[in-house]
Amino acid sequence: MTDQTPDPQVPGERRLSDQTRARVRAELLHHAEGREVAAPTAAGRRRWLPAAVAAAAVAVVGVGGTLLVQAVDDDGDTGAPAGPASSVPEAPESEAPEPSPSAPTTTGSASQGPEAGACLQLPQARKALDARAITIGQTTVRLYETETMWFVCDEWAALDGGDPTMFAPQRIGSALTRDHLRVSMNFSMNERGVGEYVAGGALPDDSVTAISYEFPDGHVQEAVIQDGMWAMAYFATERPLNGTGRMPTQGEATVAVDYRDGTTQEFVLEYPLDFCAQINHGC
Amino acid sequence: MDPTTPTLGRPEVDDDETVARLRDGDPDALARLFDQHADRIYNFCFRRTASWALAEDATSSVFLEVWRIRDRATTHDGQVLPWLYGVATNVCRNAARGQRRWTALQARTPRPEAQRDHAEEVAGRVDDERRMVRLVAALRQLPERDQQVLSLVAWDGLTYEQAAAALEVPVGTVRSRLSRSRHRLTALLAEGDDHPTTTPEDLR
Repeated sequence: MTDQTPDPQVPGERRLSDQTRARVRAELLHHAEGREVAAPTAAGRRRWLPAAVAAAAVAVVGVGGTLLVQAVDDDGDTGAPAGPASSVPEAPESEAPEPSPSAPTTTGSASQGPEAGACLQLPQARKALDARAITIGQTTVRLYETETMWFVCDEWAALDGGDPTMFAPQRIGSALTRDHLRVSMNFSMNERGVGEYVAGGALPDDSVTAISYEFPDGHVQEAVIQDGMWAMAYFATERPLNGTGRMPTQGEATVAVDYRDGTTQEFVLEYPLDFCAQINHGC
Repeated sequence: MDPTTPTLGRPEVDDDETVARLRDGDPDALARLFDQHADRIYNFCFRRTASWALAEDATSSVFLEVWRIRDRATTHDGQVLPWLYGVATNVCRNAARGQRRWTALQARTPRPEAQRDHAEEVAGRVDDERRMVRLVAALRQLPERDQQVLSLVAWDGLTYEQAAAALEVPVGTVRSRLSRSRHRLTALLAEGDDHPTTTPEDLR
């Protein structure tokens, strides 16, 4: 039987402009061809430790996580439901966190509001074996580990009622790559500022002594490193990145990783490919 | 141009070989898929976001995701488009939150100088978006599974069989959902005519 109900009229189709088509195509090829890491260079890259970082309230949360069972399996699957034809994870289930005496607690100047436990709403976080956190200014970046994998959750977006930001899980012990250093961009829903640029993760060993991001607007943000974990958060209080008040459509950030042996490894992060590290919401 | 008739035509190439190369990690295969299907994905994304600008960004995201999950790429009767639409469906769904935040940000920040464009082109795009906002607002009142079927068949031009492949449901399910959702959407649009207050902000 054929349904005779007429369909509503949708606007006619359009084509991508030649300029856009060329730009996106070039970005895709660039990404697919895997141009990644620059060779280690001698230490000496310009480094600027902003006063803001020194003044930032940095609280490292004790490990102490003894949550229940492995949540992120050995394939790196977050356990989030995926659609039938894509692996893009849907937003994690919004379950009320279960009280647990062994759950990680935030100390120091970390936020104590109801949003403080936002990451614990992620089922994967609640089942992790180990948890650590670093608080930088307005946000807390949390690291959760299973036996073989770790992933990072950032709470900033939950401060105004959104979901926390979840990064892709990574294998424990893997060396730092560009993929680990990718940034998540989050925009504020209120007047806390324009947005946040955040990254973080576990360190494979104690060989890394500093991680420094230089953004397209010239701002240099040092990561906080403590207890085998690192986190970087840059809060754009005036305008995001390139000073135009718009999400940037070009430009790159450079990341310098300093090692104990005196070498520095540099990575280049490009918009938009490397500025959308989150896996549970859009960019 | 008849706005109810897709203008891009159906792809006639056989995608099997390209998909096989994509699964092997050949970047040229990704470029080929982009060349052949970017416009269709662009329009698909517009019909979910009601914004040409957002659709442009989403198109890029869809093909990035295609590369990331290339080992799962598949064809249906030699066509990769149903699978691409499946990927795009999830990308657009996940983009919803970012879209809402971006809209809120734009409302608080000074507008940069508008890029010059042909007035007719700009007017056409604005008119497209106004019409699409109304349609998407009504569509979103349907259950999500009905939204997907209706938009894939009625708006994106997939056959029942292709839509079934994209959604991984039986063809009979597509038929029943389509019939139900067509009637319901028609009713919702008629109700909307009595209360034409939908704005892009309402949608986002």
